[in-house]
Amino acid sequence: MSTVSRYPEISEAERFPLLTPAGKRLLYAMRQHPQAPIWNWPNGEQLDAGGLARVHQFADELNHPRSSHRPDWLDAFTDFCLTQVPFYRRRAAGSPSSTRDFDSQPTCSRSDLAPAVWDFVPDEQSLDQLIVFSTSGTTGEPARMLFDPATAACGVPMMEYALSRWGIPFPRGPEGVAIANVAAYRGAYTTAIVVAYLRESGCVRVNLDESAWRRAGDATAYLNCWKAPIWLGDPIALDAIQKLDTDHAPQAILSSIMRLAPGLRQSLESKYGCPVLDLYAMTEVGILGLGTADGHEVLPHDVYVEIVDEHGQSVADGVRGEVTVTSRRNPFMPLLRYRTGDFASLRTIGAGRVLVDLEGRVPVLFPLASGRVVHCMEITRLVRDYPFLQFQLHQLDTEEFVFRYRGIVDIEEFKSRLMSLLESPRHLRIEELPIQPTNRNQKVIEYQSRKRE
Amino acid sequence: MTDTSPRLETLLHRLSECPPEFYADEANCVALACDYLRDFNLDADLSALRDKLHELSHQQTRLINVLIWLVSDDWFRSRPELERKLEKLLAHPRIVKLGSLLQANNLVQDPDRREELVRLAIDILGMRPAGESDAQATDRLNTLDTHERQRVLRATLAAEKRAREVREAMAKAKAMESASRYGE
Repeated sequence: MSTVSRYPEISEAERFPLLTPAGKRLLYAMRQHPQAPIWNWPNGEQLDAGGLARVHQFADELNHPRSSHRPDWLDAFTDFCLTQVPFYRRRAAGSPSSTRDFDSQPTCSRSDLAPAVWDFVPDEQSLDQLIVFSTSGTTGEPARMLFDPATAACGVPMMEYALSRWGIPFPRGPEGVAIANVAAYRGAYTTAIVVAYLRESGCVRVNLDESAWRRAGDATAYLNCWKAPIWLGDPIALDAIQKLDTDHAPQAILSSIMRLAPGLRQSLESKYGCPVLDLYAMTEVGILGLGTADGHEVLPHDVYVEIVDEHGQSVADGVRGEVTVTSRRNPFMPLLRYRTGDFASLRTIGAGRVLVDLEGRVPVLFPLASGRVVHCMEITRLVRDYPFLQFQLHQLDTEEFVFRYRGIVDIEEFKSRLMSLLESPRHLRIEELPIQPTNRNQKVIEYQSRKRE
Repeated sequence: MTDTSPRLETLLHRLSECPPEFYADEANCVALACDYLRDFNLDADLSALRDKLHELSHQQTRLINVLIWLVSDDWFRSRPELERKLEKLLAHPRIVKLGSLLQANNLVQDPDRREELVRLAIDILGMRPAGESDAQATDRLNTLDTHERQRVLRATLAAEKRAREVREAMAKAKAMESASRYGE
């Protein structure tokens, strides 16, 4: 397995603390397949028995019928945050109001989280199982997010819950691959793991970009070999996979990360004859909503969703505002009224809630003069190497780009790398983003292309 | 608070002139306290106070010696209604706590600490400095409060230490690997 030098390997035992001989055989088979992709991310779930028990508990609670959309733990959770979490405690100490109930708390956002994410870690949280994810988010503010293995692994029962209404359970056992997680851009991570929650069924992360394979045709052959019943990917990757000559159809397709266009959804449904789900997700809380005819239905039981106005006040159902979440799932990053930067209105249906007219992320591709197409994730990956506070890249024409940013960075070095990635367009303008006078309208359109397909 | 109001400047000046003998190692706090209270012609049983003072550290008793010098000012001596309050003042828990935080010489030589002791004594006696409102007096005492300042300092240092530990753990985690994410 080839490795990326900045990710020194940890041992197999650390990656898969619960690995059985059968799981190990599957892991080996997925990785050592003659037509396997060029692996560049030697990761694992890092999930021990305690972590797996938490994932099972999460799944049990997720599937338990709910009596109300407003959880009964909000005030206790607020008290925990104000007592244990440095960010909330410090903010409360500087506030003239001493109220400790949930509804009186101010909101927070990525502007609070990104510069000092360590201030969101509760005082007594052990640091032993810390995992760090990098994300750019929809506000164009790069951030590092903190997780533990169990929180990360809860994504699997979340996906299965989303599919439960179609009666499609994920396969279990180390006999095959349950999930093909596809990407389609140069430099995307590739890995093969076994999923403890699925009793070591496999999950392969493959990159359909030709640069990720040794020979033409390997991508199709590899997918045909494993025939994963669940395909997961962003719309750009799903569009790429439907162009491959695969010899099987999945049982379900899950689209995430960016908005799924109706045309692509119909195309996938028609080609594969299976449900195509549009998931609304964000790094901070994982999968949050499932696209339905009414809007995006809020899925998790442990995330409380509100819509707030520009003053951070919760608004009534039907009033448009910013999607704001409260989540206690992640022990490293408890979120109390966290504004996501996405906008919608809420509708209550029984004990459930639906986000109506959600402004999600739009997939953006940057076509270059050479014919190569740069995926916005390639830009995101480059930007992560620099301490930008906020950024945006707009393509005005094939040869004309504008990159705007906030933050103190070596902009000449960055510009040189961006020029190289965009294959030296004739015009690349770099400008500083103006500072907004208040917290309002801080959301920037991260990526935009007039050449968008 | 009563209407009787000592002048802050007068008491600060008196405290600044406290003889070093009062905060020297050999100064006998119990003897000073008993002599002081006897001068008020108190017929109280001083054995309880004596027992309390015997339990205190040298640093604490030296502070009480300095306090005795302060309240030996004529302003206090001329007010017999303060006799019982002054008896309680000497081993008052807030005085004892201050004594565990500060060296007695600081209370004489450092202007802020001098003001803190004077204001604390006045506050314990249920008064406020002449010319100040209750709110002004309370606000100024809070600003000078050594205990509160040290608590904030300790909390800040603990928070900084914790933030450093998390950042170190983040650097280590980043150098290793992430777990897989699904659909985010």
